[in-house]
Order: sequence, then structure tokens, then C-alpha cells
Amino acid sequence: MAERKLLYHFNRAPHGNIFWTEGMRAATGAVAGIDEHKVDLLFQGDGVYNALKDMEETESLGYLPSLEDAGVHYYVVDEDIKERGVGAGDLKDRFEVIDRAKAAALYMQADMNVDW
Amino acid sequence: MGVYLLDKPFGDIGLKIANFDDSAKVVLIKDGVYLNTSGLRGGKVYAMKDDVEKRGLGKVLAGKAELIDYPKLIDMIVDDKVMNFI
Repeated sequence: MAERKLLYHFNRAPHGNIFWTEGMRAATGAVAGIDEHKVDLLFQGDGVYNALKDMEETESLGYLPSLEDAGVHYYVVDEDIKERGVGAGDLKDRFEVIDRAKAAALYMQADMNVDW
Repeated sequence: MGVYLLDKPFGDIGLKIANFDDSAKVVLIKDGVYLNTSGLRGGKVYAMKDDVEKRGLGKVLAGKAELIDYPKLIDMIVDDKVMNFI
């Protein structure tokens, strides 16, 4: 299987479940190995809470260097942070704020997508 | 562009994404049959027949969604890209 463009979308708030950690682990696996897939991470709905500066992410910190080396992008949907009273300044630096149209374009550009 | 498989509670997000896809095939499954698709700008709405009938929503969805069975859903999934919001 050749390199593919993957979109991992996070729709759930962190903690109380394993989706955040498992999504990050899976993304790390996807960018590694023989195929070295290109991966974008999209945070929307309650998934935007994953992007908060103060969100405790000890369990997934180990994945960040590999994802950074692979050039993985972290996107968070502007409409969803505003709906929840979250400002762009409340987010970790690695997250880029995009609008819903750009999020839809990410789905169209991806060869496949996986929800977390 | 693809099949949007929608259940609650994440289906509302899927509808917002599908709104940018004029050829969206929106499939309501399980409690997704309760989603309000009236704001959808384009595409076509399908609903799982079993899930609609068990919830007594046949009349509510009449004219709003095409009812399909699982063999049809599998054909759609195999033939197209799937955006999963379950």
C-alpha cells in the first residue's frame, strides 16, 4: 500500500474515554512504518476541548515528537470554539484555527478519514 | 463526494460538513434518524428502514428520506468514501 492522505477527526471531549489517546497513538502509527502516510488531525464539536492549553495530556505527550517530525497538522474549527466560549488564545500553540469550509475541504482532500 | 453516516450525538457535526458537499449521500442510522436534516443545502438523505420503523418515524420521514436496508448501505459504503459520525 502506498502513501495515503488520512484525516483523523476528533469529535469527543477528552478524558472519561480513551479516544484522544488512542487517536494520537493511531496517528503516530500511520505516519511511521513503511508507508509513512500523511495525516491531518481535525478537532470539532466537543473535540475542540482537546486543544485547550490547560488540558492535561500526559498520556499522549510521548506521541507529539513523532507527529511533529512527520509534519502533522492540528486543526480546530472556529465556529465550534466560539460556540463554546473558547478563544483562540486559550488553545495550545500547535493548533491552527480554521473555518468549517476548510474542515469540509480536508474531508474532500483525504483518501480516507477515521473518527475518534 | 461521499457517504455521511450519521448517528447521535455526532451527526450534527456531520450535517455541517455535508452542507459543503452538493453530492452528499447522508445516511441516518440508529438514533441518527431523529436528526433534523431540513437545513441541508444539497445532497440526498437516506435512512435505515429498520431504525425508522422501530421508532415509529415512517410518517415523519416520509418524503424527507429514502428508506434503505443494510445490503444497500453496504453497497454505498463499498462504492464511495465514508465520513463516519457514529
